[in-house]
Amino acid sequence: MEILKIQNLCKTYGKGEAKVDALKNVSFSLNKEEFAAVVGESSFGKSTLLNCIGALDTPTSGSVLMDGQNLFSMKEEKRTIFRRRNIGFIFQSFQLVSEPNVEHNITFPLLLDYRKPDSFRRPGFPGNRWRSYGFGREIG
Amino acid sequence: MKRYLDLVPISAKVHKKQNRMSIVCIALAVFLVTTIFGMADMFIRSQILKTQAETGNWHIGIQNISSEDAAVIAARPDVAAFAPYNVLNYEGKQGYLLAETEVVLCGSNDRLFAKIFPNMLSEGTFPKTDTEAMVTESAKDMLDLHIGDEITINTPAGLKLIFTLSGFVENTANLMSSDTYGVFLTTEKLYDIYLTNGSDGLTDYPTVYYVQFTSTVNLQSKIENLKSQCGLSNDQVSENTKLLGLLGQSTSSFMIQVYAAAAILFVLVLFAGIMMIAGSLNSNVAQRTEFYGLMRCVGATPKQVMRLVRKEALTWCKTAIPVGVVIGVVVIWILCFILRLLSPEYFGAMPLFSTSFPSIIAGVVVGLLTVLLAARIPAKRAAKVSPLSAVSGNANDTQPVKKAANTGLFKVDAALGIHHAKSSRKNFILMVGSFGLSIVLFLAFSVTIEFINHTLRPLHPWTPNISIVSPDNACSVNRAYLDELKNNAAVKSAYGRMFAYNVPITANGQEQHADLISYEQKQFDWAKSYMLGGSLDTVQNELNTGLIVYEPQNTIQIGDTVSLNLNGQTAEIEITGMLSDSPFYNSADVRTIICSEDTFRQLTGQSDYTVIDMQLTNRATDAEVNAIHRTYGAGYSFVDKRLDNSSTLSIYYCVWLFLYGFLALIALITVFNIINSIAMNVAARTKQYGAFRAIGLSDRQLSKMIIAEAATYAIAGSIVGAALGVVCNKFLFDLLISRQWGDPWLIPWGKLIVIVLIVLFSVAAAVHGPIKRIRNMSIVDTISAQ
Repeated sequence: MEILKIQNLCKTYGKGEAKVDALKNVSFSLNKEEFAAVVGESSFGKSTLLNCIGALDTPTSGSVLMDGQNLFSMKEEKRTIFRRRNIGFIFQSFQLVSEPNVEHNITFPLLLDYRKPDSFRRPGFPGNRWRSYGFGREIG
Repeated sequence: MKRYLDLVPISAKVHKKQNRMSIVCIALAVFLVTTIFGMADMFIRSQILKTQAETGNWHIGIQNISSEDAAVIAARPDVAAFAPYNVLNYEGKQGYLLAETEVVLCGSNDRLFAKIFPNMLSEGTFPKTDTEAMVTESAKDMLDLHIGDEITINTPAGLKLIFTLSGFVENTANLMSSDTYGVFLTTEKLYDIYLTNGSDGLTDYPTVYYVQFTSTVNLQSKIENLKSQCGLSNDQVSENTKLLGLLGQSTSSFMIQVYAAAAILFVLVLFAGIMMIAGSLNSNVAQRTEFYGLMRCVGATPKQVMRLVRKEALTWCKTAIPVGVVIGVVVIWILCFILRLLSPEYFGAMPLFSTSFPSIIAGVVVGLLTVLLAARIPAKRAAKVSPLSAVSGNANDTQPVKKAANTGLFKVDAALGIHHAKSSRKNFILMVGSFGLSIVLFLAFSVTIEFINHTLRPLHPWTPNISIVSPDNACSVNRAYLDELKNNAAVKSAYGRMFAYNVPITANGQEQHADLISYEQKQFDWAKSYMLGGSLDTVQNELNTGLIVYEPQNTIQIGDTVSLNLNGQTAEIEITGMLSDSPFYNSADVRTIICSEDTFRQLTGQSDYTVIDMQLTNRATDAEVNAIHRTYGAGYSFVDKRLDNSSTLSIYYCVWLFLYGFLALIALITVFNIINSIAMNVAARTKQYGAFRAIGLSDRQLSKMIIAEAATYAIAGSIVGAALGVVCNKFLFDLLISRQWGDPWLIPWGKLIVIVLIVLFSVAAAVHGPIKRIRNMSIVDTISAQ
């Protein structure tokens, strides 16, 4: 079942002589439970592609359909909510919030969604393992 | 953490240092509002007490009603006190005398002193019968009277009225300055005296009924209600404007102007507070752009980011508002103490350690309001941060550079600093504009101080405490008294003047009238600072020379010769100087000419004085003043201006405190605005500075770069502000002062230097913190700073 469809995705930076086409008519699709890797040399547009797919950046043209929904036909607020609920992004430099601890970093998107996270304290729940690995301490 | 907004207190604990400036700004705004409103509240409270004591605790006065109507009004449930009041010989010139001194006769009943003038009765009781009377304290002291003594009042019809004293009443400024005693009788007795002096009947009898309502809430509707129910016209009802104005119930145009001015000032303070806090919040947001980008990455919507910023700002209020309120309350106590020390007679009623709840509420409300309003733009700015800024590390959009830094005139570090300042035109205009605005406000507002110095006359060095005045304005006060009074221990200085009023003169072919007044040495010395032109020495040393006082309609100039017609003889006087002002009031078509005592004697043949003024030492007692009165006052008017001067001086202290307080406020806001703006600009370039340091920029060169940027803003802002500020200052000076008093405008160098120094000092203080912070960071941290 197709979960991700990219159609003619383009991303251009700058204007005139300084114009750079980071992405030029990129098209592909991925099925559910499929694993894909984007490989390429430095500055080939790998980060740009992932940023557009992750709805972190707006492409110049083209579409990104995730689970049948066109991400960039949504309004900003709706897209943010969609990203929060459906897309997980692991950054190269972690990009963790330094003030709260690990638990809060993990549960923060849930709190943004006005939901209560499940308890981590039930026996056998992976939460107990967090404590044994010392993840209760603050980071940064 | 149960809600996403719970991140705010966690973040606040970590970023205590960064948030300090914002908390200080909020505390400052709250402190300013609390202090201003608290002082206003304390002042109004003391003024209400003082006004009730001086002019009575009555709300309206009703005239021309019958005794039946009066009884009906007195019986109304909303009327707390109702007392009649009649006056005979109000101006003290009709010839009602007590021991050769004019008396003002007042008729009323005991309700007047029980309710309307509750603090006026100093001893004894109100007369119970027609043969009893009360007199003022001045009469008690001068005539050595006691309760039970008999006094005799001589009427103009030649009758002698004998009364037994039942009590004494406090002096009033009016009676003291007109050298009259006050005598209180029953209404019936006063009416008898009125009739026996040839008056026709009740319709001519000027009875005012003082009305005090039970509650001061919604007084205007109570007054309208009373008027309509009792069929009273507007002419019959007069308001106690001063008291009602202080109670906030006045409809008089002057009080409405006062309320409007207070409202405008409140808005100005609110606006200034918003600017200051917004600047600080902007700075805070600018330094944490990546954090907000991260929030957006994690899935916070723009609205949620805005709520985070607002919650953060409101969290600061938890500390800032109580701190601002407490400091404000303490400062109010200190200012009240200072005012009581400066003028105990006038501000003695001001509460010392009282708490002004309206000011605390105002401080809290303004603190919250300014924070919410100030947080709007920074919150929107934070919400607009792209999630990509957190990912890519480019917190700000990079724009193509159109022009490189000019390294021809300056070294590269300074050239880059200047280039940074000018690179964004919008930012440069905003920075220069905000620096310049502070200078313009300061210079414009400083004109009001000069205006107050002109308008409040008793502040002048020649203001006497007591005067001996010739009763018919002739030169009849024995000149020998002057030397004796100069040697009196209670007298700090004494000086006399001779007057010739309304003298026919001819000048430049025009016939006019002038008052001729003599000055002695001390008065000429005081006049020096009012010289508009000409020579003071010539007038003091040469006979038949004089000074003319400037008036807009005056055509006599320096160098003109004026012919005076004195006692049928013509004498000439040359005008050798002009004064911008004099202490004397004159009719619009009468000029004022001032000459030396020798010239006056030569022209008029008079040698005695019309007035001898005295300034008392600080330790002069009432007993010493009474002794002077007894010794030298016989046959003359003894004018005691101490109460009057104290009253006006007190107003001056309040106005002075307020004006300088406002100037200090403008200066403080300038300082904080500059510190915030510079900090914001430096923070926005932290990564650039990191990159510069990475390629070899030394700490010293980094400091020079930041200082050059700040100096560019400061110098440009100072030039623009000085130019516009001087123009505003001239415009306002011409409008308020030159037109009225003829003072020439001069460039306000002193004030200009003060405010420019404040700006430069603020800039120096502003760069210190950011430079130290960047120097102490490692280069890697600077590049990846958020």
